[in-house]
Amino acid sequence: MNAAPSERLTSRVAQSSASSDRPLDLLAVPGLRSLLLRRRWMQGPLLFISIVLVVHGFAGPQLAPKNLATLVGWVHSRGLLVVGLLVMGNAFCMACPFMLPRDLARRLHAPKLAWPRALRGKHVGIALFVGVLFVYEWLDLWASPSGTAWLLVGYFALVVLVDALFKGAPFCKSVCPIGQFNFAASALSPFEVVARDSDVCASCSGHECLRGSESSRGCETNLFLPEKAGNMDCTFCLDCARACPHENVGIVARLPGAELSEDRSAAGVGRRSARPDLALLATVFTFGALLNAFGMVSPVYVVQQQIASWMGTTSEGAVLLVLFASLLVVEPVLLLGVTAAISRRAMPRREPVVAVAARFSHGLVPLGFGVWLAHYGFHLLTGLWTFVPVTQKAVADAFGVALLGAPQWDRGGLTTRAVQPIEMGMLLLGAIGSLGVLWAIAKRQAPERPRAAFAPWGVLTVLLLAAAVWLMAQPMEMRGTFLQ
Amino acid sequence: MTSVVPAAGNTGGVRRAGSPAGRAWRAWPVAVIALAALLSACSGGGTGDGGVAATFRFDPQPPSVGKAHFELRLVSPQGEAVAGATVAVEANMNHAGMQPTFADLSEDVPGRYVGDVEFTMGGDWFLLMNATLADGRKIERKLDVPGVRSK
Repeated sequence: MNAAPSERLTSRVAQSSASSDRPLDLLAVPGLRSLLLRRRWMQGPLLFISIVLVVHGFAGPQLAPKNLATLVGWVHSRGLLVVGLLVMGNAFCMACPFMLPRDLARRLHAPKLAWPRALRGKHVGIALFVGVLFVYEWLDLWASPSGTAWLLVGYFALVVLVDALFKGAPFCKSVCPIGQFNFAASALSPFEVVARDSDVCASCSGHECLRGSESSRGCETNLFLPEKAGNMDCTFCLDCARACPHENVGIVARLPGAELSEDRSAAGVGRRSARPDLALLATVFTFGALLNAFGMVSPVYVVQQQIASWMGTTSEGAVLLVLFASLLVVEPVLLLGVTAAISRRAMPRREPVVAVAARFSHGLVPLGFGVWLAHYGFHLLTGLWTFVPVTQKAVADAFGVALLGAPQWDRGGLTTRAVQPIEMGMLLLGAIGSLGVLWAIAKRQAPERPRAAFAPWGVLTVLLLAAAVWLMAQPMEMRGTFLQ
Repeated sequence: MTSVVPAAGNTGGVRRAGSPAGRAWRAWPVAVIALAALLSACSGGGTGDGGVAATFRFDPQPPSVGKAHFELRLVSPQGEAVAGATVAVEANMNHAGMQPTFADLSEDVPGRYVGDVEFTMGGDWFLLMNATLADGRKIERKLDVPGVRSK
């Protein structure tokens, strides 16, 4: 019996993947394809967990370690998110629970408006990302179950509001702060959604991956698959794979981080060099990682006291504002500005310092990802099993019977001593990745004097690595209110 | 430092309409309300402790990472020591994700209960104190321990 063309193609890709003359394609792995294409089995449970977090956040004990909202919300979900990015790709967006109420809202109210052109970049998402980092510290959200629940409710409301009003996927592409984090970090992911065979795309006239088909919508973030390059703006939703009548879409292994040094025009994204908002995202992603980790160690309290004393205030918000401005604005501007000014001397064409800084800022993303991994990995690994007794307690409280057994409060995780080498490994890998990407950018920008162009960025990377190692070597002091 | 601690709060792809997925959509609000009702059942009432006050101190003060000697005094509204209680404490970090530690306290003089509490990390902690008084009444308190020092 003759197989259908699509089956032959899948079979061929699977065979070629197996014979290692092509990179591994997850959508060609028997059984995995149908699992990944059916997204609801991931979204449904995550939506259920989100609802449990919200309800427990409001109605459960207002003690962070005893409440699922703060525990799962700040410890497990963030840790699993970065692990997913490290081992696969944008797995959180793939299973995003916010999409179910969003799709429901769109059934009730079809969006008619176009997302304003002025808001189409990453600026809104970056501002919200910084805003969440700020509010997290200011209101001690990590210690506030109801505050965390309100944040989740606000998130759901914003998703529904934006995507019920505006066509496409403006929330994912431009608004979602988690999404922007994932887009930046997924540059380091080992897999990418790609067209398997460019010849198939060349002969395709339907362009279903973008336009959609009768059975599935097309890419809502406007990534036309044959011209897609990298993971930026890709939510791994696989709408393209479902829509493609040729089964020509794969999730293919690739060199993590390579896209950061490229500057080719990509569908739906354009050239990195023409996107200052992407450079801003890379900068906030990198320096935000250091800032967020700094907030967990004891020296931050000394710094905050000094700022408060200098300002003559006991307002935590005001002090945090100064700290954020210093570490997310002043420090990057100074460091990137000076480094770019030195680096551009080696370049044949003297571009503005800002443009050079923007080009090279993408090279710091691997180090930033290493810091996020080290930080969130620490919380995940040291608190790995703590959700077990809290869940047991929540169920017992809810049903009046210990359906899951008595809470096992001795369930913890790895010791901090065991986790520290892992943290250092993540930082080192990140720094090595940054050096590699920066070297590639230097070779492209200064083909005649790449070493001279690279050297200042190499020094900056080593300095930032040293700062990160120092931060991670500090004793964690998870504290809240600090001003008296 | 000795703190008078007030009573704690509670400690304790678009589918078509009519499809199975569409029915699942409509079931969600019901599920959410049911879940809220269930989980809100856990926020129980007061302890009925008759206004027993708890004061405590550590040695060293402030405590640092490792074991710290803990001393708790229970005093009735009339200012009398509450003797003969069985007291246990559970130490937790304010930040979620850290394993709690536990300690049973022993009464060295009437109304004073002592024991060692272990702090595994620097930062803000709180103790959940559970006491069963001699007359069977139960007391629960949340005792804040801010700023445990790293070694």
